[in-house]
Amino acid sequence: MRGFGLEIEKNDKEFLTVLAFFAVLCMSRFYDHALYSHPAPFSILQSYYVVVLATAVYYAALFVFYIVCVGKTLRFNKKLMYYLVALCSVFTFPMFLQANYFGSMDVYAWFFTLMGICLIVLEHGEWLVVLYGLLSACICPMFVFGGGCLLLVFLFYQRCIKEEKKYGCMLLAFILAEAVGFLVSYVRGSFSMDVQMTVSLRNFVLMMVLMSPYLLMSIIYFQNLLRGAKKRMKMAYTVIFAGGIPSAAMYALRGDFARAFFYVFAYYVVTLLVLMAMRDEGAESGLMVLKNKILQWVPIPAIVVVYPFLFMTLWISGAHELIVETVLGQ
Amino acid sequence: MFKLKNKWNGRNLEIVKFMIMLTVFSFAVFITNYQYVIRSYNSTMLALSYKYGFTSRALLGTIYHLVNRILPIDMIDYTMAMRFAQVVTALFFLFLLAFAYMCLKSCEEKYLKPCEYLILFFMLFAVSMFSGGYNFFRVDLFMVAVSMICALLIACGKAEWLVVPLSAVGVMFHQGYVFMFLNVALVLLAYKFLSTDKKVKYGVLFFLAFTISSALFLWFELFSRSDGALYYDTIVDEAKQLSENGYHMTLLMHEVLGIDLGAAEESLRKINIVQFPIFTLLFSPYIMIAAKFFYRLIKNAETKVEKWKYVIVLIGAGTMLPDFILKLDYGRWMFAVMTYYSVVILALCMMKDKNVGEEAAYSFQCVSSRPWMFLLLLIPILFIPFWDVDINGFVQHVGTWLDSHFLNWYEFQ
Repeated sequence: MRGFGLEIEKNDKEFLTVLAFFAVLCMSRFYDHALYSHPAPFSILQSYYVVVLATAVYYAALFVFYIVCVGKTLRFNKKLMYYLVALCSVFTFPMFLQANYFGSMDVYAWFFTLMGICLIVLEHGEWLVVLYGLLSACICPMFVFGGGCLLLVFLFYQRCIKEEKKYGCMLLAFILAEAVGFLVSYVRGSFSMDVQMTVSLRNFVLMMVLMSPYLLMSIIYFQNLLRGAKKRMKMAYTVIFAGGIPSAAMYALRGDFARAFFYVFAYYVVTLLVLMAMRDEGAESGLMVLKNKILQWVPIPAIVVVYPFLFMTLWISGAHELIVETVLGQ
Repeated sequence: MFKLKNKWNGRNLEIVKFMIMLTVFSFAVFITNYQYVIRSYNSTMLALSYKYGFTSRALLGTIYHLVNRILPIDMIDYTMAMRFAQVVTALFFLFLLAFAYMCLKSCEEKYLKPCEYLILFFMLFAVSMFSGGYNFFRVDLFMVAVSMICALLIACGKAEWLVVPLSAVGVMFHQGYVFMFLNVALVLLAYKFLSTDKKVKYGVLFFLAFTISSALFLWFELFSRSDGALYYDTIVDEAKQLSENGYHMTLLMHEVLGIDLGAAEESLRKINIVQFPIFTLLFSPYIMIAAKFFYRLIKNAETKVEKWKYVIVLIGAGTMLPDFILKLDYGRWMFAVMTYYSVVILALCMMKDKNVGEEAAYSFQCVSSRPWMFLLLLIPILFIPFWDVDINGFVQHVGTWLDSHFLNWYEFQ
């Protein structure tokens, strides 16, 4: 671990162990054993056991990502990091276990994205990110607008803070790779959008209204992030902020509201995690201001993490069908 | 200005902020669980009434028929039953919020935080249970309300005599009140009996509440269905109108005709045997926190009387044992146990019991010193809402998987 500059302390281990227990609980609660058909470039990716394996690998990738983030964070920010990791898990743990999304190609694309982000944070083998971009675009072309943006914005961010040519080249190569992947999917005929009508428009609007405090939080955060930042950094932060819009807009317009909800939150929480892991001073101070505001106004701060889990559990990954069946089948 | 500032001092502001947070959170819990459906079991209950005799579980139906008489609209219809249920459930949730507010107002400032966490924990389960399709407008809602009113009266020391008629009302809603929720009032009365000098008053109240409830229980269980056959068809006709997808035949056969269909339910016992250990295991972090709390509470009690008081509080949930042994609705029993401990501990904090407050604060401090403490608030979301024979969707899911892969024991599928 030390080779990568990761500092994992006793508290980190304890937290990650309990998080693993939480992950197991989520698997037991949400894993439905049902595999519905999803557009896939190769039929083997839709085989039940391959999907189970891919989902397990996705979980492993999430934990690797968390270890990297926790290990890279400064000691006095660790507690904040735990909250961010838990908030990220609230979205990422249940999503691809729910029957409608279990086996969707997003899982593979998320795996490549998470690995790519880890490489960017660790600053080891970053060129592999280009390959990951190509693979994720080939497997799940629509992911280019979703998680794909994450890799893109962080390559751009690195280009802005490091001012090294290699990141500029990587950025161009990544865009090219995504375009090639997109084209390959189109030529192979596997270019179709996987849309699931899990959440109704009414529930989506309600969810957005009920989640509006998070909009306020993000405004406070980005305001502080941009305040005092240099011009170049302002541009980097603006790109990071804008990166979450395409996926959410695309899925919302196509009627896949569960995915829209997931992508908009997962994107921004992952960016928070990555910026903290990269020890970005603007992000750290912005988050500190946000934390103080939360402590000032919310008597139980953990509710910020707990609250969205309600929607993920009961509306997006919920067992409502099961209940309705039981209730009305009386 | 000074007065206004004084009113919004640290403690009051903290309570107001907590109440706003709790209201928003409870609303979200409601909205995510609500299914706009009354299960036939709960709508059929409205067809029962005391005009057919002093039968069990008929109080709710009697109130409903009374409302039907008073209002100029015909209430014997599923749509109106739904409206009634919505209003009653909304009032119940408002009452829960009021209970939380009164509790925080009465307890000492240094014990505020643990009380807030306990209230949040209890509200999550209570709101989800009575919002979800399974238990929406279930009679348990009234029983919980009655037991919480009793707790409030005893904790505030006002009109405590009302506990006696309220206990009777609880049993009239459902005779299961005796095992499920009467313990709240009885334990608090016993606690006051041991804590104050007014031994005669609390002794008499305890005796009356216990005796009247027990007598009513025996009446409803053994004698109340003698001439049910005379009214069966009328009740069925009303039940059909009040239910959306047909009435609940088993309920009416049991309550009106007195036919015990318990034997047919015996195969469902296997669900309990599979699910109970799973639930206990998964819920073990919270059980351990509660166990540690009581262990320290009893250990640190200074006098023998104090020790007895806390032992009574601990074993008070034991009244649920007959239900656990003889009946099947483990989801409801689990909720009743949770309600008992939450309401009683909150009531003791309201009564400014120093030992309980200190131990609650100590437990909170121990748990919050761990970096993963807040994850303990996430896990309960996986367990909501509670159902009945199946404890909840989560445990049902795991139990069914366990059975189909290893046990092959369930016969009903």
